[in-house]
Amino acid sequence: MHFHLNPHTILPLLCMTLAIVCGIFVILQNPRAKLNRLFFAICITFTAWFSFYIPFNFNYTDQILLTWFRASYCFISFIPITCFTFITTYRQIPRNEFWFKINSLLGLTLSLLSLTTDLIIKNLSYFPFYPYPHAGTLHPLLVLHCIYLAFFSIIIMIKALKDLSLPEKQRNHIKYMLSAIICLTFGAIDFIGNYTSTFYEIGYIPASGYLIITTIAIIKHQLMDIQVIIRKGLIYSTLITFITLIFLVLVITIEKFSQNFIGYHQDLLNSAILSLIIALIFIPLKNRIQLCIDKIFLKASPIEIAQQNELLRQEVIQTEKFKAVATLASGMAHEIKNPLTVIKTFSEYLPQKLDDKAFLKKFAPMISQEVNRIDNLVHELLDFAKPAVPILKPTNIHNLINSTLELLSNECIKYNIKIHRDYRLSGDVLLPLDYNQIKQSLLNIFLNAIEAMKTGGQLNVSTYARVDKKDVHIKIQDTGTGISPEDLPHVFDPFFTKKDSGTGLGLSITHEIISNHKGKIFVESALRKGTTFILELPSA
Amino acid sequence: MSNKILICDDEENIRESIKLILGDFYDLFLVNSGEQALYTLENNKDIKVALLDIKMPKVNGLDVLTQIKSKFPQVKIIMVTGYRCVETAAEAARLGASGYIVKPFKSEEILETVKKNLS
Repeated sequence: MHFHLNPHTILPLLCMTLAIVCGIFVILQNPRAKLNRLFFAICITFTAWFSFYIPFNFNYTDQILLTWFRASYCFISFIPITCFTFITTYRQIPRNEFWFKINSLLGLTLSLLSLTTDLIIKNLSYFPFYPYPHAGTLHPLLVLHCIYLAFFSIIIMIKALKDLSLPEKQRNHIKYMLSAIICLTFGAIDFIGNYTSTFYEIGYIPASGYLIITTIAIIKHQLMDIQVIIRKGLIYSTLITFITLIFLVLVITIEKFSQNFIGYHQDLLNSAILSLIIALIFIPLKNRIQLCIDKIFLKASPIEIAQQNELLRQEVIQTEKFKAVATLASGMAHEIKNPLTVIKTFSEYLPQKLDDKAFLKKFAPMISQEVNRIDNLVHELLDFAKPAVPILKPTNIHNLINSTLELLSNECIKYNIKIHRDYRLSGDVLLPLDYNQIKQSLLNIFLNAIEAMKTGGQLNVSTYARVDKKDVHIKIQDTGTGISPEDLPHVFDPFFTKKDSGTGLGLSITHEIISNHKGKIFVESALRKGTTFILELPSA
Repeated sequence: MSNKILICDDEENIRESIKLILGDFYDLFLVNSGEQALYTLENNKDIKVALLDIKMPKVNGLDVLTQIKSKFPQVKIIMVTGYRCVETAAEAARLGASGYIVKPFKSEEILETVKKNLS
């Protein structure tokens, strides 16, 4: 067995590596998800397909080559049904079991036939670049199977795209998948090689495009990236096609040249010259193609696309703001309507129960309680809507933290909470802060921490600075119940609360105050382990 | 013997207000969570009507409604809520609620809805 690098196989073998990497990457993300497992199966079949090109680098006998191709076809026969199942699973379309079984059976039959008989592939055709299996009598059946399942997949996705009731995000996902399937369908051009002896196989390029787009669609759920992804996919596919063509022409020319003039075959020299030429033309060619694709497909220059993306991003932020207002309104409704109910009932019964001492004794305090509740709510809302502009004065941050913690010492003793301070900044650390506002922010975070540790725990408060010392960080860590991953993105939303009491405004006010100080606030949490808040405050 | 009614609301003052309205006419059971509501229904099979708040901290009223309807289908349920929202009302009706009262309510609203559900 002698290794002899065939330059025509470099790209398909790179694509094979890509298929393996994509498959492993996706399965590792979530090994239990059906979609990820199906994609992994697809990647395996693609790996088998691209492995076609491995033996071209060895001087195998025709017999071994044909066996290798048969083994590959064994997997290739399953590509149509695996890809189709992936699409139906993705769209959550109930499976027609009978139809599914028929198609799986067809895949299995084609697979077994290719392995054991000459019906799917038989003897080799010799292309100028490498040998390729010739189509057998039943080969058209495999092609038809691919085409009709691809057809149905595309129909499913187009139908989904026409369904305007789907949320924008999902529609974008469908666009991903549709472009991926169309890409894959082009991969079927490899079958042409089974029928003629002059076709250069490049089906692995669109097929790799399919893999990349699908991988991104599974891993990422971003709204705006669709254009960018498709654009990049197009650029690189076109680029690879170009390079392959140049490669082909160069290989043939240089081979002819070296045979005619130098007189012998010199692989290493050929490869070196080729690599040099490709390295020289790669970047200019890429830029050219990028410009063309931007003009043709997106009808805009990169700057215009960036501007469009920025607009989209702002729209998303706006939508998020509207959602916050909606939460605010429904929270308001509940918070105000409950006290109103009590007051209304009382006023309704008051005239007839003026002499009922028990009634008056019970309800009079309740009314003042409920009125106070509305009053507090209005104050908090005003704080939230328009927190007073911070009056910044140099403030010793450690003194501020200590005096805030002092307010809570009774609570901490009551719930058996130990406080651990770790101030890594030495000396007096003076920051431009509004003393009362930051105290309120810290208090809100501490109160939440205590709320989460009613069965005891530890509250760690540390201060430190980054290397560039621009910001001072305050880290507040509790060992409490933690926040669930679903709730975590909402902790700063107004009226979001999971507590029995409380308005859900505390942390949103904290967020507002820190933002007004041009600082940042982050939260991370793990259920049953605890929550950490990190405040970053500018030091000047 | 007067009919038995269950009141489930996480706020004491609301429970007291409903008690003020219904207390003279019915035998009331006041509870503050869905869990307690189910427990009380289990032990008092003759409760005929339950008033449920929708927004409660642990299990929300619509979930409690589903659980009660599956375990005690004979109990008529009236939802009491601060949301004047068609979708929530429709959802409650779909889940089997027989009434929907929006806070702040009038005493007659409560009295009439309960009366209607007892007949």
